[in-house]
Amino acid sequence: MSQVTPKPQGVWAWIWQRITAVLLFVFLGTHLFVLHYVPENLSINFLGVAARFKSVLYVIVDSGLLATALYHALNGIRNVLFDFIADEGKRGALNLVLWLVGIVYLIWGAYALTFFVK
Amino acid sequence: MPLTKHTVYPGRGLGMWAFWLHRLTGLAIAVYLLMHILVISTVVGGAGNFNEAMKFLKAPIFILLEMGLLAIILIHGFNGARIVLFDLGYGVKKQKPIFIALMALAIIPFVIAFAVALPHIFV
Repeated sequence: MSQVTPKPQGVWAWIWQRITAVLLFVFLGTHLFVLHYVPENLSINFLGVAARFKSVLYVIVDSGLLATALYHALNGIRNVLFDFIADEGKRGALNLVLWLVGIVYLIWGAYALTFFVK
Repeated sequence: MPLTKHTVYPGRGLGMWAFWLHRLTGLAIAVYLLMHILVISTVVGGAGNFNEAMKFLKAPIFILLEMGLLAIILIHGFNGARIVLFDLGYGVKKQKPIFIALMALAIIPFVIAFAVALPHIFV
């Protein structure tokens, strides 16, 4: 069995994972309830989504949800993979890839979210 | 302490199941999230394609898959509440009954959502 002693990773990613967890519990719960339980929202179509994205409140909440969910998801992937990757170089490369994916998604998501705001 | 596969995943009990369940559900939701953002953001391409995609995704099989997704999210979310609770210093010694209680609690929103989805699954 291979034995490795990775460098300590610092505590901030761990703290942010908890902060985003609590935020997601509230806001993802709200997202699921509002979009999939409230009867008038059950049919998801272009006009409905476009109308929602014209509302500043929706865009603000959804932008927060976008950033929070992306951080929590990508850092979660990192947490799992770091248990299997000890090599510092590979860890650095994984960090870079995850940051890139996160930033590209954030920019694209923000573009889509604000597309209908006039 | 040096890490080995053994020291990272030492347990065999319910807590270890919770740990694995949390990781697997987390990875599944992460994959879904990345797809979800891409699919919904196609709304910027106009009504035609978007409405067609949404109609396609209304097929009973997708509603059924969404019920699976909801179950996965509820397991991850409710177990996540347990993890945050432990990190704040509460309940570590009662981790097993807390896990069982939270999973039982998660069944309630699932049953309610399933009742809403049922007519859309068996059309």
